[in-house]
Amino acid sequence: MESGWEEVEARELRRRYANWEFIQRLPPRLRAALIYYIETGDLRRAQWISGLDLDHFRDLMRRARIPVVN
Amino acid sequence: MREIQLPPAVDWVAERLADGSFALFTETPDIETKARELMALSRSRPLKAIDYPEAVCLAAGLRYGYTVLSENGGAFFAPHVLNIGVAVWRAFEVLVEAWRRGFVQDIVEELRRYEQEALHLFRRRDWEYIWSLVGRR
Repeated sequence: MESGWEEVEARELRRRYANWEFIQRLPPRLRAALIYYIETGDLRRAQWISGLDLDHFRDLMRRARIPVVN
Repeated sequence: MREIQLPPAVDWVAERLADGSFALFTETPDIETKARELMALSRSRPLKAIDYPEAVCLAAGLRYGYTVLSENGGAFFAPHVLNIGVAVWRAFEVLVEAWRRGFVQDIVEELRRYEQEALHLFRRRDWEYIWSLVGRR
């Protein structure tokens, strides 16, 4: 099972790699969705917050340089 | 299919469906019931939530003995936490298996290339596992 420190490791990697300048320029809903993803790693809920379909949300994550860490 | 919209993924799936190497799976009532059971079970355990699409894959994996491919943390840890007999592989397990079968020559290089291309980072413990395997060869 994923341990607490592994969750911390994944969150730190997402925070470190993210292009924060890009994220801060986004409309509020998209910005909130990406920040939620960075903090939780919960892709489906982040996608739901964004209002985008999954494919377009993954594309947004790539443009924001937010890695998937599993 | 509902979740992919963009090329090249949608082209790749359409081509594989056309040549018969992929098939569409439609959930049956028993799979749906099992999927909802797994979702409910996951909420009572220290596990990231399993959502319906992943739950259907786990239920189908259980029912038919399939290996489930998922990058979803809840799905990946579900076999251990929920004690269910289904194998879940991430890209990491797929690449390691490809290396074991001789389709990949340099697993370290392949994993690094995947990280760069997919912006998908493997955890330190995954890398430690790889170092232990490569060290043995």
